[in-house]
This record gives sequence, structure tokens and C-alpha cells, in this order.
Amino acid sequence: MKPAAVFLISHAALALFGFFVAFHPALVRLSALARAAAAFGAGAIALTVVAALYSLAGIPWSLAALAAPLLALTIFFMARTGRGRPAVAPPLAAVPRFSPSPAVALLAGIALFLAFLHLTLSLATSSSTSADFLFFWGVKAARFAAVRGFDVALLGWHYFGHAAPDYPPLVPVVQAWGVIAAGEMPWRRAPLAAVIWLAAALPLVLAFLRRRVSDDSALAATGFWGTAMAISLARSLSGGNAEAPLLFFEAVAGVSLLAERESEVSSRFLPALFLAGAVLTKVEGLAAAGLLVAGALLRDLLERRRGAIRGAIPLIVAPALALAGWFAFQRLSGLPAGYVGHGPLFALSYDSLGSLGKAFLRHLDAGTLWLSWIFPLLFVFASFRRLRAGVPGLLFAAGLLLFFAHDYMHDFEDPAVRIGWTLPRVSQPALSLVILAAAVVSFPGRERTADRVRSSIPAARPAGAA
Amino acid sequence: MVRVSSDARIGAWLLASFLLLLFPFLSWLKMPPGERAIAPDTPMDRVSGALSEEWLFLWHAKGAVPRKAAFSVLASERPREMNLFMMAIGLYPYARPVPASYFGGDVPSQDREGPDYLLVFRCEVPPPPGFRLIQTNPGGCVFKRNSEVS
Repeated sequence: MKPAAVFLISHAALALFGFFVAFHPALVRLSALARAAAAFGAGAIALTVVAALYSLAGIPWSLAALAAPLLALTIFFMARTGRGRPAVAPPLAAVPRFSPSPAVALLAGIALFLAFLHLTLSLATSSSTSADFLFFWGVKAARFAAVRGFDVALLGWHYFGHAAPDYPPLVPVVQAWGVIAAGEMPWRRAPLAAVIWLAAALPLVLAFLRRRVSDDSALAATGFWGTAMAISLARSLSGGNAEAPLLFFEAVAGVSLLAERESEVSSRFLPALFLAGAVLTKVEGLAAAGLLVAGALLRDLLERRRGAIRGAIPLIVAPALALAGWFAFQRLSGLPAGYVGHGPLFALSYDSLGSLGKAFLRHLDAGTLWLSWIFPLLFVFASFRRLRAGVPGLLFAAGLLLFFAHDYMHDFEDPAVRIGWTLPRVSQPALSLVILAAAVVSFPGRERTADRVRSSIPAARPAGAA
Repeated sequence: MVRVSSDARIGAWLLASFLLLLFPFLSWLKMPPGERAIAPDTPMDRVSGALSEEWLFLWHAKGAVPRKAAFSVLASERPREMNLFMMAIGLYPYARPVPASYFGGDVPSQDREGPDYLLVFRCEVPPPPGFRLIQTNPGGCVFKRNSEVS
């Protein structure tokens, strides 16, 4: 088999490593596809943790050595839960069987098919490769695979400073895993992995939206979300870098929080886990996690939900542990611990605000002349009475854009060029959450079947129970 | 609140999806038909001609640089030398990169010492004494230190 095929299959195979997650009570009643997608994300996180522990222990990476503990974990949980269904059924179990109308399913399916075809062709013809893949993401992966571990000497080398050695490790580890399996880095085809990440998000986005809105509404919104994100990933040259994985983790964490209903007893296991995944994927994953936690907490307080503070705890603890784990790894490996900033927090340039504003607006076009933003925002404005339900996504989007504007204001030369290179891709999670928030606020809520069913469950867990 | 029926909203979301698709559709239409699905020579074929050319040079020179060898990349323009250096670290994962310059600046002489191989982009920079030409490819030349000749 060709190295490129093996590299991509090894990505998809991460679902096997994370399959222990699919047996968690919060997910056990999801569709098989959604559970596999959740397992895929969890597999990437688990692989990163095991790879880091091996490097610290001096154990060389190999397919067998990396796979063994993860597969063992999966078998353990399969055996444990295979004996019977969980005692407490999660609310998701109460969502009726998926039965969209054929016309909606057909149209959403065609839109998604065409959008994914566009993304796949763009990546396969080298139209959407990120230069950063060749400058550092893929470079780290190739080097890590060559030394069968984190190349700490390289990360600490003065002349590797361009490669952002402080960046979190998930993407280089996952790509290195693919390189070890394939025997080499398939430089031309590796960017296609972005398709896998986006495709994996779809069943989860659909599954969580269905908790909140009707099947047809969820499908139409998922179709729009997938189409907008596929076009944006292609347009923003996100092949081979960390954008698609980050989008996956943040979109799924965000939609699972957005889909929580007022009276719902909900597990926050998956959003907590995937916020940790976001933190392990990119530096701004930390800002994103903070914003999503703040948004969920604010929404819960505004809606006077029971256990709002308590429900936020797992969302804070999981990403904090991920961050602490990465910094501890840096320190134990003799690397400088922490992230390198773009300058002192308030050393900002106000001279180029005009240029910044213009460039900012111009490069938010998402490859669709801003339609990807305009359409969901119209629905948000039209549904302002239900706005509270969308707070986690809207606060996230606004906060993330402000975060980047603040970052660009550290440039004392005209930031327009850097904005042009980076904003189209780094703004994607914000666009993603605006679309998902719009879906939640604009459609009427699903009939409270879940509430009726849940009332028959004797010992439901409080909000935030992991 | 604007009152729109649920079916109309679903229709609007679906219609909007197809509106979005017009943009990539138009971009593919602009491309000459024969070029729409060409297998790429490099990862950057349609992103950056300059990076594509640099990557291809390194790719062709790959066979000339053995594992564990120390190598440097030279170019007449410093920004291109930096690009080549960054990409070469990944393209030659078993070899040891030695910077000839860094971000356009000079590198202290002790940090520049020791390359066994010199990869010269477009053959535009003459190698220092003690190196001999071992490969030319469409993107440049590869030189090897004479003392390493067996």
C-alpha cells in the first residue's frame, strides 16, 4: 500500500485507540458513527499522552508500543460495559430515532458531498496546503518519527526557534504516528488528513444538534456548517497544519454545550475531554477553552440552571490538566516551560488600528464573500429573544476575534500581512460556533421527549457530572 | 422576533448551503479544464510558485544526502535560504542541518561549521573551496566535502 494511504488510514485508526470513550455512559447511546467520531478525537488525545509518557520514560515509539496500552484500555472498557447497559441512561438516550424527511436529507447530503469534494480536490491538488506544514508541523512530525520520540534536542536548538517549539504536541504526535506507520512523510498527500478531521466532526455536530432541534433542522444546520467549514478550510490553506484538528475539538465541545437544554441533566464528559484536546492542539486552544467555559457558565447563570458553577468544574479541570501536563513535559525534558508571547500584554500599537480593522474585515470573508458569517448572524439577530441559548457560542466567537485583534495589535509594523496569512484560518472556530449558535437559537426546540423519559429514571446525575 | 415557519427556516439553511457552494464552483470554473485535477509535483503547487520550486529542489537532492550527514543549504537570496533551511529539516529527517544564515541574518562562524554537503539552490552560489559537485538537478546543485570522498 502507498505511504500516503497508510498515513491517512493510520489517522482514521485513531478511533480504535479512543474507543474506550465510546463506552462512557454519556456517549453509549449515540449513533455508531458519532461514537466512532468521538473515539477518533479521544484516540488522538490518548496517543499524545502515551507518546509523551514514553518519551519521558525513554521508551522508543513504535506502532506496537504506542497501540498496546490504548487497545488494552478499549478492551477493558468494552468488557466492563458489555455486560449490561449503564444504570443511568443519559438524556441523549431519549432523543427519538433519527428520521429526517427524505428531501432535507438529500439536499443536505448533496451540499455536504459537493463541499467535501471541493475540499478533497483542493488538498489533493496542492491548492490548500499550509506553508507551516512544510516549515514546522510536518517537520516536527518527520523528525519525531525519525528519532522515535519527541526530538527534545531539536526543540531546544536555537536554530529551530522558527518552528514554534513551545506549541502543544498533539498534531506533530498524530502526524508522526502516521509517518511511523507509512515509513515516510507523504508530503503531498498528508494534508488530506484535514478531510478526516472535518468529516469526523459531522456526526457529532448532528447528534448534539438533534438534542435541541428537530431532525430536519439539525440536518439542515449541519449541512450548512459542514459546507461553510469545508470551503473555509480549503480557502484558508489549512492542509497539514493544526486548524482542522482544532476546529474538530472546539466545534464538538461547543455544540455539545450549546445543545444542553435548560432542564436537562447532562454529562460534560465529552466537552471537557475535547477542550483538553483543543489545549493540546494549539496555543489559542487555551483561549478558546476559557471562552467556552465562560460562555457556558454565563448561559447557565442567566437561565438560572441548577449546578451552574459545579457544571463548569470539569470544563476547567480537563483543559487545565492538559496545559499543566504539556508544561510539565517541557520542564522535565529540559525545555523552557510555558508559551512564548508576542510581547508584553499591554504593549500595543494603536497607530495601525485602521489598517488592522480593514484587514480584519477583509480576511474574514471565509471564501464566500462573508456569506458564511452573514447568514447565521441574520438568524441570530432575528431570534434575539432566544439569544441566551446561544451565549456559549456567541461569546466564544466574539472573544476569540478580540483575542486575535489584541494579538495583532502587538505588531508595531503594519499587521495587514500577518492578518492576511493567519486570520482566515485562525478565525474558523469562531465562524463555526457562530453557525452552531445560530442553529440553536433560530430553530424551535425539540419536543421535550427527553424530559418525559428522564422522569422515569430514578437517579439522574446533576449537571456537569462526568 | 421575526416569525418564520420552521420549514421555511430549514429551506433557508439548505438554500444558503448551496449559495456558499457557488464560490468554490466559480473558482474551479476559472481554472482551465485540464488543470483541475492534476497530480501535484509538490505540496505547494497552487499555493506558492517560489515555495514549490524550493521544495522540488530539496526533493530532487534527497538521494544525495545520506543519513546522519551534516548539510547546509545556500541560496543567493536570504529569505529563500531561510525557506529552504526550514523545509530541509523535515525533508531530511535523518540528517543534521547546519544553518548558513538564519532569518536573513548571519550565523556565528562556529555554528556554520561542519557541513559535509552543500545544497545550492539554482547553483547560484559558488561553494567554498574543498567541495566537489556530485549532483545537479533542475533546482540546483549538490556539493560534497572532498575529505568525505571515499
